[in-house]
Amino acid sequence: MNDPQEKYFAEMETMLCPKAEFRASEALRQRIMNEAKAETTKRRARIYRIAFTAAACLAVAFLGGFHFLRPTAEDTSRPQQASTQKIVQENTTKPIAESEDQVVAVAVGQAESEATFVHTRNSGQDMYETEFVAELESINVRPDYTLDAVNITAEPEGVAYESQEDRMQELHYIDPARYETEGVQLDEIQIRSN
Amino acid sequence: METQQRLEQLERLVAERQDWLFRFAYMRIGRREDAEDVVQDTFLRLFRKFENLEQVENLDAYLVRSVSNACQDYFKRRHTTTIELARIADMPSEESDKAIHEEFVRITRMLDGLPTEQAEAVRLHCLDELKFKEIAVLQQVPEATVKSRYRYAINHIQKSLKRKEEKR
Repeated sequence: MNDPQEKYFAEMETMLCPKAEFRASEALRQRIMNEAKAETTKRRARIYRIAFTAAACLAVAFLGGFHFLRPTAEDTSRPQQASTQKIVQENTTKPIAESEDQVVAVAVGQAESEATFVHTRNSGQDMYETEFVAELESINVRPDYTLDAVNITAEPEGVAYESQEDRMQELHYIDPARYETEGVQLDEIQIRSN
Repeated sequence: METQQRLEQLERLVAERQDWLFRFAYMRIGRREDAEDVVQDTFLRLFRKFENLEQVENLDAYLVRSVSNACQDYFKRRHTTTIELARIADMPSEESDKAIHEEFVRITRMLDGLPTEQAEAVRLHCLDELKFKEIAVLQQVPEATVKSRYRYAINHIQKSLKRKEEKR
């Protein structure tokens, strides 16, 4: 400290050092801890929600498959509509399954409000991929919605497949990229047969 | 790691470091509410990012960098680089905050007129008690640059203090 240069710097440092005691309020610590607790709770809730969504999705697909795979007399006698065929040709896409009566499609999503929605399409309704995509895209109009999963359940009537591979070959796989329009985020797309 | 353990770790860290970080933020922002928001965001970001806070390498350096970035973001949002000197004295402040606000005003005035990097070198060394080596890492410049910035700043402050005394 005998060095005048050092002494001079030390004096300046003392002058620049704040004398008052800076204390954050007690409420700040409480606020931080409350936020941290809320975040851990939210994270846990998210894990439960994903598990619940997956279970709900499977249950809907399973039950829906049984119900809608049973053709009614009206369904079996109804001729293939030319207009629908035309849409499919124009869009050069394939129907989700061979027959609309044999298909159940389920989209499960999550709104930011944390409300789960289950969006279903099934036999008796138009069940072509283009239309289902259009429908998903219409959900996109509501930016607070994201889709967690889309399940397409299909089982051509009266066909017994020897293996799961054979069965899957009959079903048209849906390309996830098709759904990834702005705001529609898909974690997975599954095609299931019951 | 168990959630409860993580929360306890955070609580300990907040208790130990909140005043230090609060002073850091207040000395740049000059408002209790905003400085506390910055400190809160810093701790929560750390909590979100790391599963185990004890594993963070050089936790103090991480916290200082984080709160320093948050202060810069604060000014960016206000389209300015530092607080306006003309407004600090009039800034509304709680009665209990009078002493710390006076210190803030006094030091900000002393640093007025210095280039931002030089003023920041002084703040980090004198107010936040960081070593030149730590400042060099934080600012990503050589240690010699930090020392010369600091020296220039101190000389400048001393000259301006002399000028003020002579005027009196």
